[in-house]
Amino acid sequence: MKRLFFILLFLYFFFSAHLFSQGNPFFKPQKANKKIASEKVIKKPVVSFSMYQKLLMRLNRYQHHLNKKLSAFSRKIKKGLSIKLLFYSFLLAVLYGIIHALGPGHGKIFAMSYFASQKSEWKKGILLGVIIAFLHVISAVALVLCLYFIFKKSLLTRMNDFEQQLKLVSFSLITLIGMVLIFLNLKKKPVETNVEVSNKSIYSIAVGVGLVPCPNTTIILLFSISLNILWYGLFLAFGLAVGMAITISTTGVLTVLVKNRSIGFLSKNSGLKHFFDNYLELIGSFFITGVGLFLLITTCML
Amino acid sequence: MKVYLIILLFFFPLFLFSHPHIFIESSIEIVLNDNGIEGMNHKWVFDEMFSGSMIGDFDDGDEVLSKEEIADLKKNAFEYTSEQEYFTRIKVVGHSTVSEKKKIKLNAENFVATIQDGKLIYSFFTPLKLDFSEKKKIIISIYDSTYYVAFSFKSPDVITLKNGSNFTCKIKQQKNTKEKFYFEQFSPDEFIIEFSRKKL
Repeated sequence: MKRLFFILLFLYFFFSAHLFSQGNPFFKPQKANKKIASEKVIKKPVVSFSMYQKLLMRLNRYQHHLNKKLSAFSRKIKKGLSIKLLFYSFLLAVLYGIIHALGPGHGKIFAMSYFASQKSEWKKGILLGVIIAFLHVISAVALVLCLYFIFKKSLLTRMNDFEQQLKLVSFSLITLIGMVLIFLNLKKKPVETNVEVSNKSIYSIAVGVGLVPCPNTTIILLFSISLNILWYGLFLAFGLAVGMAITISTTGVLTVLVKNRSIGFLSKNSGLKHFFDNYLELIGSFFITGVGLFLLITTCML
Repeated sequence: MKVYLIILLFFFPLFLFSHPHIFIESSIEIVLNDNGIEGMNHKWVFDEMFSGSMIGDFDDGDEVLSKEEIADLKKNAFEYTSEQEYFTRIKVVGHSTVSEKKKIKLNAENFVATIQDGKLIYSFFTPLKLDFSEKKKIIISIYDSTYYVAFSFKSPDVITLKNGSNFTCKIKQQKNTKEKFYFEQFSPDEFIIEFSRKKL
């Protein structure tokens, strides 16, 4: 059951990983996406996903609703500052971040595979989630501000070009980190299996993943710039980062808990424990490398 | 352990739940002529946030898009969507059997962009030229297969007719559960439109 769970985890990661590299269809030709985006017609639905689909559609509606609310709040803030409005704006931005980060990308895939490949405590899950979320937002803020102060015009179009370059850097870093993890996993002796994950390696994977600017932060900032309330856009971006940190951290913590508990459970079975101790971490490292490489190639094709 | 596993599994499929980053309210006006269907007028109303970003890029600040600005928008922020048939899938169903469905490739004409209440609006026409003597059934679905864009159909007049005095028309909206997109997570909303020529 547990082994099946991790095999499913691996497959899910593999098939969903490339979503990270999908871009705005209004600006970039979607050649690669066209091949990737699953649009195939199935003759008979094997399983009914109606409940699941309803949940996804509901989350989508919440996002749309929050997007509308934040747009309306932005216009009100432009007319006059109010502490109450700021408070509600922040709450909405946090909520938007939580729901938005449930989508693909945002580093959850890597948070999970990283913790599947390393022995760790749940606190590290929070640390990785917070760093990824804030870097994800900070990279968008930094890029928008740089473009704003340098070019003043055509920010959205330019952002799209720069995002591609940053993705290339980010995915190269992820591949490199995955290779280092493979090397470390192959090098270590069986007695050293449960070596705790260091903060240094958490920072490196977080930088690699968080470097990709968050498109939603970009849109919020550009919208606030168009209304001449950049400070408010930055305030909302902070709320968004807090919300995304909650989701990504939850994913990291859950992965750590599931992994640690399953190893404890499997300690009764020496064969499976041996498999987990020696191969799961190596598989996780190979997975990070594979996904990084796959994303890199996909981005190069765009 | 079981609790954590269940919660984590709940998070799993949501990895695939796409962004979306852009929201569009869409509507279509079907243009008819004496012979059948001439084509379709499409209208996309973008969400205010994305509109603000686009207007900041393509408008000179007067909130009115000039011919040059519209041409710029068309070239740099519309034409790429042709790779996805402008997010609009049309199937024409044969008279006798549903298996005769034929997908139609679209080409956009008369592209116009305007700004209303801070929202960017795209309007364009796609010719269909479907001539028919008695009956015709077409199926329209509008979605972005990458789910970067989420389409909604809020208005009661999502599908309307122009010059439809010679025809009677039945419109039905439903989820096509046999067709999936975006890693088989979503089923598109379909508009099934049946035309019958009025007897003189």
